[in-house]
Amino acid sequence: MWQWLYKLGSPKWFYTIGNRVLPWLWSITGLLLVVGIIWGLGFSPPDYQMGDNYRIIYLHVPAAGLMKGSFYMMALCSAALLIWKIKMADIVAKAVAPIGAMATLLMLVSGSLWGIPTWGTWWIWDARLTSSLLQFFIFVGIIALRSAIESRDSAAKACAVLTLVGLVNIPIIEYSVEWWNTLHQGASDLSLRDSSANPPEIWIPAFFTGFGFIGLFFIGLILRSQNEILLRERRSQWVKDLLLGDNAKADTVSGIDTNA
Amino acid sequence: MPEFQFNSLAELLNMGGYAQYVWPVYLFFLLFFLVTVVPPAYSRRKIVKQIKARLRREENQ
Repeated sequence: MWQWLYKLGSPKWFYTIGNRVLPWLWSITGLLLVVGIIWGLGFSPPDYQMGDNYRIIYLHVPAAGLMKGSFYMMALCSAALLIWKIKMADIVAKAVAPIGAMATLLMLVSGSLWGIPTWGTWWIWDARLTSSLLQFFIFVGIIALRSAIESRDSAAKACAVLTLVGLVNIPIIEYSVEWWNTLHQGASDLSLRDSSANPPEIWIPAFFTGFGFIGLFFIGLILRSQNEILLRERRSQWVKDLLLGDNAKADTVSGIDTNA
Repeated sequence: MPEFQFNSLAELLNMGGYAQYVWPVYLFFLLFFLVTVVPPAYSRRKIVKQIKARLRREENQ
């Protein structure tokens, strides 16, 4: 396990392992998303209060999960960069930031569209919504900071520090619905009983879309990281061999690298 | 087995009267999906092309 992690710290290994993982990840992710969305849109029973409008949940909750997951991943990478100076960690942190920003935007947009018919407003400055909007600006701020600093090493360090500072917002989002009186409800309990408010036929599709989102996250992470690896390692021998080799297929998107 | 909840395609599209809220969310997800996948794939082609061109230039020198 540790050896595997250690190898992932090497850009060359990350690139090749990424190519091997991608085809599998694509198939599993595609399957999960298609099943989850069709099930959620067409086969889950309508909510007894919100009718069919609640079907937004199958994208809203996974998007919120991805916002949190992306930021945890960035924080872990930032710590790894600052403590052990692992360059690969910075590459991954950079790759994850735009995915996290987009996921947060999807969460905000889906929440707003859900709010109009159920709350009677698309926006309210309550704790959950405000802290979530702040999280979006934190993602955007980290991306902007990186592009504003010319030296790559300084940019990496500055972004890592900002990410760790921004981590303080995550528990605020998480517990905002408990600490303050908010319009946003707390998390619903998953129940296996059909008679409960949240029975399996409601939440099982969310499991599919949820894991589909995780798959999509890693697809984006691998693709973006690989691009960054190629750019940073463009003068190294292995990139040369990879791109000029006879059966090099590094430019294919699916990345089935028969050489690896 | 879960049953299909709508009687017709029109009913599915209508989403019980919530069509203008539900479908834009799913469309925005499509956008999220594309933005996650397409730009990196596009820049991959560009990066590989650039590096290859440079490597060939250096080989010819």
